[in-house]
Amino acid sequence: MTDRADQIISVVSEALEVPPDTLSRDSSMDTVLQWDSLAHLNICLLFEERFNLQLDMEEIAQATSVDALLQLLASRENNEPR
Amino acid sequence: MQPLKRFLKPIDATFGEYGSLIVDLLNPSSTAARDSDLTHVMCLFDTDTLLGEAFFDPAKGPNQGDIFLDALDAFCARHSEKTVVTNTFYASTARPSNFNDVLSEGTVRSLEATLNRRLVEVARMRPNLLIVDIEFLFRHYGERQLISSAFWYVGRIRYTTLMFRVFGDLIRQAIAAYNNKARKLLVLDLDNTLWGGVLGEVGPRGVELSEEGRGACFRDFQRAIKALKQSGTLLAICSKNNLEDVLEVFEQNSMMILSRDDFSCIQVNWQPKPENILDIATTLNISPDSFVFIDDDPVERAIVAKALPEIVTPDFPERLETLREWFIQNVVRPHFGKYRISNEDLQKTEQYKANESRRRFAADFDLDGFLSQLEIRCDIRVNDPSSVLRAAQLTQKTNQFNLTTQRYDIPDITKYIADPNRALIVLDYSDRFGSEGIVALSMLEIAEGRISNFLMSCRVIGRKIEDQLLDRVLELFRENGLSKVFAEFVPTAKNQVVKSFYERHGFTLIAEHEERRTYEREI
Repeated sequence: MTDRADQIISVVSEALEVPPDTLSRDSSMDTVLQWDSLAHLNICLLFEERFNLQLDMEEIAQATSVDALLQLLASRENNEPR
Repeated sequence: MQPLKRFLKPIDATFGEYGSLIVDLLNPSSTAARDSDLTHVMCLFDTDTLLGEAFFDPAKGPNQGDIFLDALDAFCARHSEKTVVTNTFYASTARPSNFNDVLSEGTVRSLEATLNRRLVEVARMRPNLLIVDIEFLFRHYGERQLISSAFWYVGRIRYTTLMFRVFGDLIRQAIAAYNNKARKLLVLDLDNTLWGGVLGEVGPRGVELSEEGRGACFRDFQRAIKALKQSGTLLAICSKNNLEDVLEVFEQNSMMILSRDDFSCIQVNWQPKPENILDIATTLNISPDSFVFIDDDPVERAIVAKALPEIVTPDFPERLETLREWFIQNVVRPHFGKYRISNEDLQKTEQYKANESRRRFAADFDLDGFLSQLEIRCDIRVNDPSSVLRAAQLTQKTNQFNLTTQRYDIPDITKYIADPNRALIVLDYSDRFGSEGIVALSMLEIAEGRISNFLMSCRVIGRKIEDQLLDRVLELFRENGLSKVFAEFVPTAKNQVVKSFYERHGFTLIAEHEERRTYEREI
């Protein structure tokens, strides 16, 4: 699980162009200045590519924190691929 | 297109507002036109977008392709000092089509072809225009991997990360090719590179080179190398073998595609390869920094790369069946990419003449010309209950063209329009390409004579419609018996685009604090 969290932090850090050590599992659109709506789309685009999955509209709208992205990834890994 | 930014590096790109492509080309005060430090201007557009309603029915719907091409032509003519990069038109398959919908008259495919032909014509006349063919990417990777509907509907981003990645690569490669940065010489090993097997063991007729199986992989590789040579790249051999054996292959093996004469230099001996490569450089008088070296042996590649780091030594593919594709994708496109508009023949010259008048028009094409062609219609409404939802949305989402950045939700707006001392004015925009719906609004404190909110979606910036909205605002105050109005500008990190909006519209600054400027105007 921690590995996964690190991978997600690395995606977020790459998309936002901020150092990974400024991010944590608690980071979200509300706590990170650079994480605005456009940056969020960049995060989701990169997330899709890194974990080889496709997000739907609801998921893009809701996965606005490191923790939410982590849960999204876990749900995909436990279920049949869509 | 903004997600493309990361994949264009090391190019440092600044992005315009969403949907402002044509306006930015025509507006002399846009960053693209004004900033003399910008050497390259990219005019990239999504698949389908400029086709508008014509995407579904070319016979009925107008499309913005021709207007875009006029604007592009005019921009290239006015800014011959800048390199202008654009992509080709591509219509995705997400539309009803017939099974015989190839290039028949009146289909989207024929519209796409017509626009692309005109694009090439513009490029022939404007040598500073560089065309990037995105159809190549769709053919290679497929739409399903490159187009994302979810991101389109959530945030008007048409493409997937894969698309942004390969599109960025393609743009960088095209710019390098356009600037003649292609390498000049391909140095080739022989055994298990140009043919299968070891010549010294199997003899000149025993090497794997045939029309089927493994031998065909090498034969097709040679065909691709031959084509590269015919487009102007030089070839050389650098191999550890006996020269007589190698010459026998050229003379005796009828399956060879490449002949001895195709090679400008042949270094076959048992000396270390870096020495041989330097000999080739001396013989041909070409610097090794324009060489690419292909060898199946990773040790030889490492030795060459260490001794001559300026040489490109691409990893040889592990699966033989990918040899030709690997060569095209990983060697030819990045290192030997050429950019050239095909030679014009007589018939095409006639076509140019026919289009002469159109081009002359295009060179004079400017922002006002564009705006008048758009046939803009603004429906301005006061306190319209059906506009509440969209109005609230606009106050939430608009950051740039927003004078006070006050956010409202739906109940707030509902209360606002019910209040007799207040008014909400919305502007509903449409032009001949379709309707954008409500794109601008203003909120007024009628009793105080104060404009408390004035904003416009960035999708329509540059079309001068804010003037119409402001006129209506002032008129409404006049109707209510006021002779003076007040207005405010609250600076944020994002709304610098409107910092002198009120000054430009006849208002006078009467008070200035760090977080707020107050203006007044007689009406």
